[in-house]
Amino acid sequence: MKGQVSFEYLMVVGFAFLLIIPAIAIFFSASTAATEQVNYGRLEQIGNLIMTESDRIYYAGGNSKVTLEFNMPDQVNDVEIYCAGRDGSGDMVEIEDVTIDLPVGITGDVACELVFKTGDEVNPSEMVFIKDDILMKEELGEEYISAGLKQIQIISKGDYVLIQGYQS
Amino acid sequence: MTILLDQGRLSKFKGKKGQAALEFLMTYGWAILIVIGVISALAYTGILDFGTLIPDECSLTPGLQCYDFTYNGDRIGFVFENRENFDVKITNVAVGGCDPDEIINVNVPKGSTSSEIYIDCGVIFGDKINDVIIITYEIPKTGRPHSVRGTLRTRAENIEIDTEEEDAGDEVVP
Repeated sequence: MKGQVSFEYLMVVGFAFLLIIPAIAIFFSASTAATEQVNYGRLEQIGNLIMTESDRIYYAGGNSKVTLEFNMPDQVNDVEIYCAGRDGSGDMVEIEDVTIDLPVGITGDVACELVFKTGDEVNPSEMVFIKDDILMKEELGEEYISAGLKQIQIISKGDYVLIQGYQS
Repeated sequence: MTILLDQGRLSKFKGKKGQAALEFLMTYGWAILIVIGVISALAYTGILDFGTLIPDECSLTPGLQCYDFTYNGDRIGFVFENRENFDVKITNVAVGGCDPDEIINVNVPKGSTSSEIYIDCGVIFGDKINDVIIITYEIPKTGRPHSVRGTLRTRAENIEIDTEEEDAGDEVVP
């Protein structure tokens, strides 16, 4: 009798596992892809917000500032700002120091990229936002890139816009 | 409600209950096994295809999206849509184990779709693809390369891909 009970138990549990395990695998695969898409959507919002506010603060004039609060998704590895401008020969070259009033050799046509780096080393991914005619600089420590609620400040420095972490 | 049972009759019934359960299992257990076997065989031979229940998907980022895609078993065709506020130039498209590593150079102005981009993967994937897709592109405005990662899940369709358009090095329709 005990043997039969065990056998029945095994049959029932085994059958249940047969159904549950593939279902879990499919669910996990689908939810991972969905989470990535949701995170991309959130980064899109954050990036657009930073760029819009940077534009507004720059044209508001020196020492204008605004504090932004947002929820950073957990897949961001790094945030960087890259600025480039056209040189005398017409090529786009990097502007390494935006604090200098229009760096030597740059004739104009400047643009800055805000880049959120996600993914891993094997499969990196970047989300890029571009703002024309404004020079930008970021000073965000690792604590502002990690997942969670963050506050940053966008400050107009006259010739450029500084994006830095903020603690209230 | 209380049911009183005679102890002697109960012990007799106990033995019969075990037998009934065993007989039930032997009868319907075999039936269940046969049904599972038949479903497995149908799934294995492709007559019953659970894969068709999962929809095809090509997801990238909100800025750069898959507008259309096709797969005929060895060649994948893509049309990308640029929803960014800047132009991009797609330089390479890699799907999982298939990385053509060739310069594509397809310009996609902002707000428009690219021409069809084909990558030839031979028979790496077989009937279905469920892999990571990496697009490498350049932003002409800053001259800087970037990459974006997404997911491609599709099944081979029995279609002829027009080979005249296969050279992806051509410029694009704005």
